[in-house]
Amino acid sequence: MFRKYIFLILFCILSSFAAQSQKNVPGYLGKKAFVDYNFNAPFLLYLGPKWNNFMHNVNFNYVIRRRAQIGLTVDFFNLHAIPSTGIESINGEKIYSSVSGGGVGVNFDWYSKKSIAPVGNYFRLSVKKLFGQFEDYDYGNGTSFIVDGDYDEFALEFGYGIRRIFFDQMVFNVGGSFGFIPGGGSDGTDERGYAYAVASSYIWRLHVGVGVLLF
Amino acid sequence: MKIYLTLAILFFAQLLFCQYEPFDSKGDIPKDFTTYSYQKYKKELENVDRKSKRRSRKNQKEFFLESNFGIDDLLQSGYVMFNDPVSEYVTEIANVLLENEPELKGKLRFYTVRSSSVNAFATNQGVVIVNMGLIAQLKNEAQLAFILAHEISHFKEQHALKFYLESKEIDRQNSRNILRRKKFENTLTKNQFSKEQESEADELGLELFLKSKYNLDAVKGAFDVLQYAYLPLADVTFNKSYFEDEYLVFKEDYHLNTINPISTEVDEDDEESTHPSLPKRRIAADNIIRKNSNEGRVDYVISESRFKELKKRARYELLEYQLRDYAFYESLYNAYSLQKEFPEDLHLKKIIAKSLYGFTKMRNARQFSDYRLKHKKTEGEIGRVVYFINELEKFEMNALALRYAYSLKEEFKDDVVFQDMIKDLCQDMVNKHSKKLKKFKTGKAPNSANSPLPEKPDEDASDEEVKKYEELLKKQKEEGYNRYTFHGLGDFLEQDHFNAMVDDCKDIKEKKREWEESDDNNTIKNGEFALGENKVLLINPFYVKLNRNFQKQLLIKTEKAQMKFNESIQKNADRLDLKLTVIDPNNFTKKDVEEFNDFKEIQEWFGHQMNMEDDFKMIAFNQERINALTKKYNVDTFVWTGVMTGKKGKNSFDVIGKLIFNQFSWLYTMITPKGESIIFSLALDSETGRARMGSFDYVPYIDHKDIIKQRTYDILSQVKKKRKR
Repeated sequence: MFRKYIFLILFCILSSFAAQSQKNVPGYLGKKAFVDYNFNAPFLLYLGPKWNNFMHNVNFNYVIRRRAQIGLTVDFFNLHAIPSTGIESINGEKIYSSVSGGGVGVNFDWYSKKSIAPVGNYFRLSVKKLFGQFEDYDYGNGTSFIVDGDYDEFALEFGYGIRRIFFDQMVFNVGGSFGFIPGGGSDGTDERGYAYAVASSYIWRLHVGVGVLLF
Repeated sequence: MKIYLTLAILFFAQLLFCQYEPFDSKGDIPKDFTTYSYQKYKKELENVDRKSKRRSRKNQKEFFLESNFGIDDLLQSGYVMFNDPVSEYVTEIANVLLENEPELKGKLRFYTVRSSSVNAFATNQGVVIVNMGLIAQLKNEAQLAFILAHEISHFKEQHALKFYLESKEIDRQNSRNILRRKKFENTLTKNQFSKEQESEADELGLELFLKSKYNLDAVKGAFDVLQYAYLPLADVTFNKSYFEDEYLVFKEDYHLNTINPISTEVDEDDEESTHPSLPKRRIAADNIIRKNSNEGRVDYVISESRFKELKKRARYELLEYQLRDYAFYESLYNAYSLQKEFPEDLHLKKIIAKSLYGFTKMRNARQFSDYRLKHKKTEGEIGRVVYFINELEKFEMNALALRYAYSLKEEFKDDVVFQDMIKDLCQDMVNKHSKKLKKFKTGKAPNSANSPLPEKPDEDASDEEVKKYEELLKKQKEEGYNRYTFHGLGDFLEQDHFNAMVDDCKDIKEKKREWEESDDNNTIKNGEFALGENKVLLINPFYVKLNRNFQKQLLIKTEKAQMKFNESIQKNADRLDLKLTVIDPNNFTKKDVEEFNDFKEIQEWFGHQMNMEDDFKMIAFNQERINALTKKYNVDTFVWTGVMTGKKGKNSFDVIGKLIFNQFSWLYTMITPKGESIIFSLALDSETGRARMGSFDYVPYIDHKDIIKQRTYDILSQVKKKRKR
């Protein structure tokens, strides 16, 4: 039950930070909002085909304190991986499980002591709602068939990155993050199993992003 | 007619009561001050001897770089004056000397520096700088002419360049033969070369001097001035009775009976000096002079009255420099000796009051040891001043300063800064010597105040006699203050105004605490500030780029970065709608002479404030002029900011570590050079000198544009931001 409300609780905590936003918030030359797109290379990249195994992420952030910002984040992806059975090919042809979907959430970034948001090194905590579809091969009965379904779960994500600004306008961002679903792994259902697998794929997810300062 | 007569009397009366007229730069700022050092350097590169060896060419370039930037640092410090009466006079004398050398004349520029030391020097670029201390000590125009001739010869022979090249060569040989030659010998070799240059400058200077009509005796006189350069302006008898009256009387043993005489001996050993010894220089000069006739030669070619007027002004000016440098013994004694000449001059009294104030503040804050002189190491009458000041107890010093300043209260009733100084002395007396202050009595000091000390028993005196003597001495010490200093404020303690001031000072601690807790305190949480200013004066923003591992300043890069930094600050101020008046010596145009003079005042004032500590606050000695500038620029906060940045050397362990543990940080390290930057800012209240904002941000990167821009924006936004009530 707690899991269901964790998103709400964290959202409240983060919002309270936002409500406290005050005093000296210089942002970058007075600009506090920016949007950026991040190109993510998840750990699954090494397990699946490398040509299209990427995640995409769009962030809208607003600097609320001297060393902190809050934001909305949207992920979308279509990932491929070696099937859960561990079998990589059938009749010499490579096969992959796939999962496609996305996530919506809020994030909170703390900048290091030597930095002023939104420039410098930051630590990120985000709460996301993940949703999507999956496909997997199952050889459990000796004959192959496809298992598929939907999932809809909450996840926590932790990250670290470095953000810089060029030409007073362009935001550049590099970093890495990992995530997990609170409450542990699969509870036995396929949906949770796959959702957990997706969240786990955030581990060593590395990203490079560009964006623009808005206002 | 009567009106004119009255006006004339008033005018002369004013002259009589205040002889001080400060020097300032005038007219257009010369190119030496406004041209970028890099441009000067580029131009001077044309003078590199192309035929010389590669190493020599490299050294020559290095010299041009360092000397141009070095001299510009001095010129832009605000302490060097141009077109002022002294510089103009010095130029005229130089023109007399160079009458037959128009080409050389065209290459030289003469300026004066606000320094009390007795010196003059010439640069390789043709800038000759004369210290105000030299003008104050010289006896006549001819002596100044000889010194100028000497400096001109240094320039003519390009001594600075030659010395640099020779030093480099000596260093190079030394580094190759490190086992055979010691560092000390290396220095001696350089000194020897320097001495040869000095002798050559004396000789060539004399040749130039002999072509003029100046008196040859001046050469000897000039050497005398150099010999006694360490002495005060005059040697006038000092007695503690100067500070005494019927209320304040000091113990007899505060007076030093025997002083060290002024030494006439000169150390002939010049092995470790860069200059030949004075006897050697005198002999060499005598040998040349002897062959020439002194007939028809004069002490003054330009003007005797002008020299005397400038000398008088220089001596007054010197007092200001000595206060600025916290040389209070000298300022006190020099003002005292000038009083013999101008007894009614109020300005001299003010200098003495300020000197006593300086002593008091330093001693009360235990900051005196660095500036303390020892009377045994002095020569002449100044020894008595040193002894007297050192003998005074702290509270006596405070009482004396308070008495002296308070007695001038009416004379300076419109001088806000002087009145503040009195209050400050009173506060110190109340807060730091409260127990002693309670013992101060009304009424005059007893007549017996100066009863002689008990006679010291002979060596063969009995124990009883020695004991008796010691008891007497102890008794006298115990009663001493009662009989002496405790009547020092006797007359003032009967005045309501003085007592009200003392009562007011008693509350100051409480008031200070209240103020710190009040909304006027600009500090907000986490060391962030909100000054709520719409207009400030930004002084001398600096940007220093250092080489790898921060060993040396990258001069050319620094200058270029400095220009961009100034633009960035101005843009950020515009973004914030903050009115920013920038006084930046690097960006003066020829018409900015007023700003140039103002810069010197503010620079000096900032220097003073930077020396202050929590427990040691002293009103700046040029606060009066700063108050005028506050009104002129309509600001009440002065801001100083700057960046210091440098690259770090490669650290392979660091790179490998990051490669293993943090892939993206490693990537970042590869694409962004490592370094460190410090962004500094200080905002001071222009009336009180109180720090309203101060930050010293360390950033573990080199000076990325976005970071520097963001930081300067942050500083200015804190200046602009109003505190939420």
